[in-house]
Amino acid sequence: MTTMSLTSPNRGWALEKIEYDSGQLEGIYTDLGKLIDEGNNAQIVLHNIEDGLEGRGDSISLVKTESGSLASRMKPTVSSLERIAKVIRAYGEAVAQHAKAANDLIDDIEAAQATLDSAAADFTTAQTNERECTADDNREARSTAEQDLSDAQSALTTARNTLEDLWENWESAYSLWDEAYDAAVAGLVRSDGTTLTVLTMAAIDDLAGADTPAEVAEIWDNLTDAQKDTLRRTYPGFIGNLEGVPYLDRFLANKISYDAVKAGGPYGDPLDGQLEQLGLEVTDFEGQLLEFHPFEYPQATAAVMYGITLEDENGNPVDPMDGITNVNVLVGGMFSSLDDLKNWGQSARDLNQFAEAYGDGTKSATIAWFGYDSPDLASEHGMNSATEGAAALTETLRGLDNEVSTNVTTSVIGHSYGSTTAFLAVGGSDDNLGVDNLIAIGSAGVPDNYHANWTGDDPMDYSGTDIFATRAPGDFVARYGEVSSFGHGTNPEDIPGAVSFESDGGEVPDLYGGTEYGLETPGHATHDGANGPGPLGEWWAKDNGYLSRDTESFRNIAHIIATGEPIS
Amino acid sequence: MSDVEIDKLALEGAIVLIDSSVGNYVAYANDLWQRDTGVGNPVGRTSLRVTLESVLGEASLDARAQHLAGIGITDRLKQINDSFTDLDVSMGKGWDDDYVTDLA
Repeated sequence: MTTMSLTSPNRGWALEKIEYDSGQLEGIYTDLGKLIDEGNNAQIVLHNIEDGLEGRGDSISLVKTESGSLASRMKPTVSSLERIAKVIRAYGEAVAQHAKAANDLIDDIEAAQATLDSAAADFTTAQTNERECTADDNREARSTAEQDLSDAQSALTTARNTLEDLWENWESAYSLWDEAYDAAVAGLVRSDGTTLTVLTMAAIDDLAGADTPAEVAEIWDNLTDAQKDTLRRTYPGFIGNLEGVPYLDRFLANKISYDAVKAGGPYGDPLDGQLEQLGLEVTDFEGQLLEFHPFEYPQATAAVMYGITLEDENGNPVDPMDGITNVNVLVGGMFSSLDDLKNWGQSARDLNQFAEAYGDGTKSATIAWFGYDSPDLASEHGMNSATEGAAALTETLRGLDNEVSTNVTTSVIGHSYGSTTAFLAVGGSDDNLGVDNLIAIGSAGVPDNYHANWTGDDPMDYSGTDIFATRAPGDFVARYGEVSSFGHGTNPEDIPGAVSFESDGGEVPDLYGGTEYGLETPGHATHDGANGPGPLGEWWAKDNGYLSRDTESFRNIAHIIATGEPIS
Repeated sequence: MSDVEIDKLALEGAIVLIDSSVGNYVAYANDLWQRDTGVGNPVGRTSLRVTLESVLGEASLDARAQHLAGIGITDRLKQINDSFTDLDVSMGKGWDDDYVTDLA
């Protein structure tokens, strides 16, 4: 944990602890070895059956053929695992050496910085004392002042040199870890063993090593069309999820990835059902896959963007962000997953429709973001899921910020623990991630003044972002989430400058310039169910959750997006 | 030992070996996918963790499919083995004893 916000003098890197678990990495590497051994053993057994099984007849012939075929299928899998193991070993060695060295220096650097600050203060005092000596002071007093100044100067120089040396060592260790991280990403991307041209392989290394979306965009821009096409087709999972690659290329890559994954199934539930729904969102509802990680554990993650066009009327590709004035990101809370995509995709499309109706020239696009492992009842109390989710959301938002012009208004809408995650991402960042509006609905509490694992001792900082929040009167789950938490016990409505809006039912604008009654949200749910199943299944709580189109809450969100303020 | 017995033993051995090797293979693959990799999100970076979870997940699902194919093979081997047993029973105990006339 860092206790100061310090930045390295030469490279400008923040002094942060590099997270890793050597024991887990070593365990994964060891067990990968066992898996590879078992895979190789299985292949030998299968080949022995293929070549040496006694007997004649169709059944025997068939089983020999099938055994040979299975052994052949296993071979590329085992070869990939061998390459993955090499990557893990190299990265494990790098963190044990370089990340550890960098982390071990953090306390020393902070202490040296404190010593330097103290020495600088002592020097200033000694300088003042020496300057204040006059001819009236006796020789001994003047001599003492001069000696004190000399000593202070010496101490200051020593402290400065000590700190410089420590920073140099830290930057060196950090840099070596950084290189190992980039190499590991590139190594895993290429672990399928596909061989491409040297230039294209080098492009993967460059893209994996880029530190910001802007750097990625520059590298991508310098590739030839043929290279881009090759990378999209050969490594769609990498290109489709890489922030900084233009969204159009990402959508195309992720569609290729989706088709390949779908064809490789079935995988069993819940993944098969989620893949089915993702496919429907693309084919029937004009959604585009902005992120797609079907095999992430413990839950598949993805993000679907609605309200954009990839082609003009002649079928020519167009920039999907052309004409877009607003981009909104919906972030779910506890238990949220791609199983909820049908409802959330509907809300995303509804939001575009109402924001455009409420605004003057508004052209809205909305992302249904399921990009993190949402918490369960046990983990909801803490900050681990939010910390991981905020890291992932931060990358999405930085990518979005790079993709759209500064004129585009970005709004992030977080429900329940999704607001915890979204507020940590924006408030814990050293900028506002390009987020103009941060909207909490049914918040389970947002991070307290600071969250040690994310911002050091810096307080949450929402500068440059307008905050809005609502909690339905009957939403007991949200309030319980806040008061029972360890680290997210702040009601977002209490943040200075936050604007509260209503969700208890009232008059709202309709789509055609008139007004109508917006429904009350009865509990915590985004769509159906109030605060839970209830004795009667809460049949009365259907289509009136925070994100249901006919609720006061939802209309307020659309109004904020379109105008910057809730319905008055 | 008769030819039938030799084939039966070979089949039974093959069934055990496939069950064991492919079974261990998929068990390790599943376990690896469901473990914390230890990579974490160092200084807010998620790409290595997500990529590693994804490649391990893909390998695990490949292994599951291969395991199912392995079960298909052992099922077929068991059927053949059962037919040997049926054949043995239908021939009657002792059909292959030395004193039976070799008509070949």
